[in-house]
Amino acid sequence: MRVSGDVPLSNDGKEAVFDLAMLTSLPQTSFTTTTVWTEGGTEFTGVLLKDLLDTLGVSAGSLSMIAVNDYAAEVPVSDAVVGGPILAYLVNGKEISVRDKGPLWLVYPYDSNPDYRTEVVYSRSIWQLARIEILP
Amino acid sequence: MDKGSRSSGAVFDRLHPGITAFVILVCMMATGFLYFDVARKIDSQNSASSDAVQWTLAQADVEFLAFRNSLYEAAAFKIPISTVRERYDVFFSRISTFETSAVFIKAQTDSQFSAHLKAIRSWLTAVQPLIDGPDDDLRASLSKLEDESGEVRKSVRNLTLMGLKVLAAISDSERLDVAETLKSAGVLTLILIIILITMLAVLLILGRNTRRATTEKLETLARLEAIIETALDAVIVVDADGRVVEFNGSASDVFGIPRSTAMGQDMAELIVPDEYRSAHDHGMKRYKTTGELRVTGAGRLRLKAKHAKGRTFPIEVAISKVLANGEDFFVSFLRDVSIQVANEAELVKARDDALAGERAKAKLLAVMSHEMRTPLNGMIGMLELLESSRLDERQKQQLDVMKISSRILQQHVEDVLNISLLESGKMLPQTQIFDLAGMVDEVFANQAKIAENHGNTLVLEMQFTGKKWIKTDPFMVRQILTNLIGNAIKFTRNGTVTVRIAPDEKSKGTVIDVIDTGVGIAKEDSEKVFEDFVTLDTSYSRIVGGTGLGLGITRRVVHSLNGQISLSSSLGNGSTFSVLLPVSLDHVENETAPPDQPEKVLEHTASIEPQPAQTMKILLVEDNPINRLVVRELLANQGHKIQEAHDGAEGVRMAEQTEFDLILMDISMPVLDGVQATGEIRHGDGPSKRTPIVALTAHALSEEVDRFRNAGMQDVIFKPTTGRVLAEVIERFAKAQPQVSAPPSASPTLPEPLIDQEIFEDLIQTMGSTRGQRLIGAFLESTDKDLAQIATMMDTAQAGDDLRRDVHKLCGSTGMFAAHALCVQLRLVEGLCKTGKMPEVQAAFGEALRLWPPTRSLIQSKAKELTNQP
Repeated sequence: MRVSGDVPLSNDGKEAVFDLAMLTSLPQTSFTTTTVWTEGGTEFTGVLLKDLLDTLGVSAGSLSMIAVNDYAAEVPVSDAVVGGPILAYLVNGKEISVRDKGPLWLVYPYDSNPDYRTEVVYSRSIWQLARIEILP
Repeated sequence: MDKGSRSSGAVFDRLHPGITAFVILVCMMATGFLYFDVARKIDSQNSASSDAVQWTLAQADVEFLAFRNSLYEAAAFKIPISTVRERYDVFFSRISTFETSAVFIKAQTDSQFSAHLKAIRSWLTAVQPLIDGPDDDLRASLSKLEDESGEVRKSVRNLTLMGLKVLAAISDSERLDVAETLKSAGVLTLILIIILITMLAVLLILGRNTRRATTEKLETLARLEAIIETALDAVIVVDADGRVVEFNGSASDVFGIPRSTAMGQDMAELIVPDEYRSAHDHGMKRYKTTGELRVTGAGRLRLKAKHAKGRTFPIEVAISKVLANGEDFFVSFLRDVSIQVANEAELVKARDDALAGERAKAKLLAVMSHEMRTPLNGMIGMLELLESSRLDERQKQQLDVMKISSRILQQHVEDVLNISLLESGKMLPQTQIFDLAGMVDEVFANQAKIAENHGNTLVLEMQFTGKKWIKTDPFMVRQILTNLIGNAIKFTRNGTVTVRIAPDEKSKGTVIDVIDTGVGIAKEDSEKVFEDFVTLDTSYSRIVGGTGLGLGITRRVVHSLNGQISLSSSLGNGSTFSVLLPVSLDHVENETAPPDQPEKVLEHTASIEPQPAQTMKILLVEDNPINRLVVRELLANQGHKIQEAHDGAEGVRMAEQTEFDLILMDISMPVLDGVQATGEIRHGDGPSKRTPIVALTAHALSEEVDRFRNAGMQDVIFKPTTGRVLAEVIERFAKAQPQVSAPPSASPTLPEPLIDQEIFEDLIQTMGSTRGQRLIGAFLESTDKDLAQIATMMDTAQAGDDLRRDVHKLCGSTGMFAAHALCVQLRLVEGLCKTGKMPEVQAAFGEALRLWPPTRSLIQSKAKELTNQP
C-alpha cells in the first residue's frame, strides 16, 4: 500500500509504502461485525486507521482512498478514532486476496455504533485498497 | 349555574377519578406504543440497509467490460497479462458481493436474477483455472475467453437490468412500509390529539366547575360569616370537647367576653354558672359515652348563663348538632332574656295582684253582706212584727216603703252571697225530673202581677210534641227563669214576654228563649250585660231597681248546669235571651209525674198559712238577743212553741232534757259554737238526738255549708230570714215526720195549697186595699157563676172546644187571683177535655168544685185580713 501526499514520515521519496509485514508490525485490532456486503457475523483483523495515521504523523485533514478498480472515497482524519475503522488484512483469520476484497479493506465496526450504519460510512468502506492520498 | 350543568358537574366529579386514570393509562400506552413503533421504523430508516446498490450493479457491468477490454488489450500486447488477472479478480469480487450482500440475497428471490447470477458464477468458476494458470496458457486462451465473454456479457447486462428492477420494487415496498408506518403513526397521533383535546375540555369544564363551586363556597362562607357576625343572637359553636370554635359579636356583648379570649376555651368555664357546672359536665360525659343528647335539639330552652362579671342571667337557647369533617359540633343560638323574664315576672305579679284584689273584693263583699245580715235580719223581723200591730194609714204607707226598701236591700245581699257561692264552685246541681213548662207557668204566675202593671202579656210557646219532662236542677232552672223573665218584664212596657221551649237538634239539648219586646240592648253591650254590677242605663235601672248582679248570677247558674247563655238584641227592638241546657226534653218515657214532683216542692215557698198544719216544739239556740227576738216572734206568730238557749252549751243541755221537733242553731256563738253543739247533740244520748237541726247563719260562704252538713245539720237558713222562709223550712221537717196528729181543719188529701200567698199579697199590694177588695169580690162572684155554667155544660155532656175554652178562661182568672189548687185542678180538666174522655173530665171537674168553697172562704178572710189592717 502506498501513502502519498503530505506525508510527514516517508520511506519512498515523498511517499510512505507499506507491505503486509509492515502493517502487521503495527498494533493489531480486531472486531466482529455484520456488514451489508457479507453474510452473518464476520471477524475482521487489521490495523486501526488511527494507529496508522499516528504512525505517519497525520492528525488533520482528510484521506483520499483509492481502490484497485479506481474506486475512490474521501475519509476525514476525524474518522480515525479508537473503536473506529481498521484497515483489515485478515477476514475470519485469513488473509484476503483481491477476489475477497483484499488485500486491505477499510472496515468500520458497524454493529457497535449506529452512526456507522449509514450510506456515507458504507461509501467510505473501501475494499481492494491500493493507495491513500493525504489531503490537507 | 343552572341545574343541568350542576348535575353534569356532579357526574364529572363522581366519574372523574376513574375516567381520568383510565384515559391517562390508555394515552400512556398509546404513546408508548407509538414511540417504540416509530422509533423502530425510523431506526431502520436511519441504518442504511445497503450500500449504494445501483452503483454496485453498474460497477458489475463496468468491471466486466474492463475485464473483457483487458482480454483484447492483452492479446494485442498493449498491457501485461497480470492486468487481465487483476480485472478478473475485481469482477470476481463484485459477483461475490452479489452473492453475499443482504440486499442482493433478497434480490435472488427473483428467478431470472438468480439464473443470470448463477450463469456468471459458473463461467467465472469455469475460467478460474485458466486465470490462475501459467501466463502462456492464459495468453493462448485469450481469444477463446474473449469469445465466451460475449455470451457472458449478455448475462451481466441482464443481471444489471434485472437487479435494478428487483431492487426498485424492493425499495418501493420499503418506502410503502415506511409510509404505512408513518400513516399509522399519524392516525395514532390524531387519536391521541383528540383524546388530549377531550381531556383538556373535560379538565377545563372540571376546572371551571371547581372554580365556580369554590367561588360559591367562598361567597356562602362569607355570607354565613357575615350573618353570624351580625346576628342579633349570640352564636357560639363548640366542638365535641366543649371548646369554643366560633364566638360572634353578639356573644361578646351578651357575655362580656372578647372573641379572642373566648376562642379555644372551654365553653362551660366561660358561660355556665358554677351551680350548673356539674350538671353540664355530667351531660357532656353522658354524650361522650352514650351519644345521648337531652338539651341539644330540644328546641328553645330557658337556662341560666354566667356573665364575665360573675352575675347570672336568664337566656333562651337553641342548640343543634352538626357533623363537619366527621366531627360533631354544637351550634348554640343564645339570647339574653333578662328583660323579657323581668317583664313576665312583672306581668305575673300584676295578674296575681289583680286576682288577689278580685278575691279580696269578693271576700269583702261576702263579709260585708254577712255583717249586714244580722242588723238587716233584725230590721226585717221587726218590720214584720210592726206590720201586725195597729198602724194608721200614713204609718202603714211608711212601713210599706221600709218593707220594700229592706226587701231590695236583702235581695242585694243575697245576690252577692249567691255569687260567692256560685263562684266557689261548691254549688253542685242536684238533678230531678220535673215539668219544664209547668215551671215556666209557675214563674209566670209569680210575676203576673208586675207584668200586668207594665201592661205586658206573658206567653209560653212549646215547640215540641210529646215529652215535657226534663232532668236537671229545678232550683237552678227556676232561678234562671225567674231572673230572665223578671228582667224581661222589668224592661218591657205594654209588650209581650214570650218564653219559647224547643229542643235543640244539634246538641240534643233544650233551648229556652226568653223574648221580650222591650227597650232592647245595644249590640256592643250584649256581652257586657252578663258581667257583674252592670246596669246599662243607670237612670233607668234606678227606676226599675236592680243590683246589676241578676244576669251575672244567671250566667253562673247556667254554667253550673254546663249550659250556655246568649243574647241577641238591638236597641229598641226587644231582646232574646237564649239558654241552652245540655239535657233533652224527652228524658222520661213515662209521663206520669215522678214521685218527687217539683211543683209540690216549689209550692212550699208559697204555702204560708196563718195556722200551721202542725204545732211544733222548737228549740232556738241563738246568742244575739235581736235575732232571738225576731225569730221567736216570727215562730210564735205561726203558732209554734219556742224554747230559747243563749249559747251552744245551753242548747246542748236543753236538747238533752227535752225532745224537740226542730232545733234552729246559730253558728257563731260564744262558749260552744253551733257546729260543735250540733256534734254534741248528735253524739249524745238525749231525747233530741235525732231531731232535725237547721243552721241559722250569716256565714254565707259556701265551704261553710258543707261543714254544717258534715256536723249533722239538715239544712241552712241564711240570715236575715223572714217568716216565710222559716215557715217553709219548718213545714219541710214537719212533713218529714210521721203525722201522728193531723189537725182536723187541714185537708191532708190536698197536695196543693189553696192559695198562693205571695201572689195574693202582691195582688193586694199592687191594687191597693179598696180596689183589691172590690176586684176580689167580683172575682168570687164570677167564679161562682162560671163554675155553675161549666157544671151545667158537664151535665149536658157538651164536651168540646166551648167547654175547654171556658175552663181555660176560668183557669186563667183563678191563677191570677192566687187560687192555686183550683187553678191546677182546672188545668188538669182542660187537658182532659182534649182527650174527649167525658167521665174523667167530669170526675176532675168534680174535684175542682169541691176545692172552691174552702178556697173562696180563705180568699175572703185573707183579703179582709190584709186590707183591714189599720
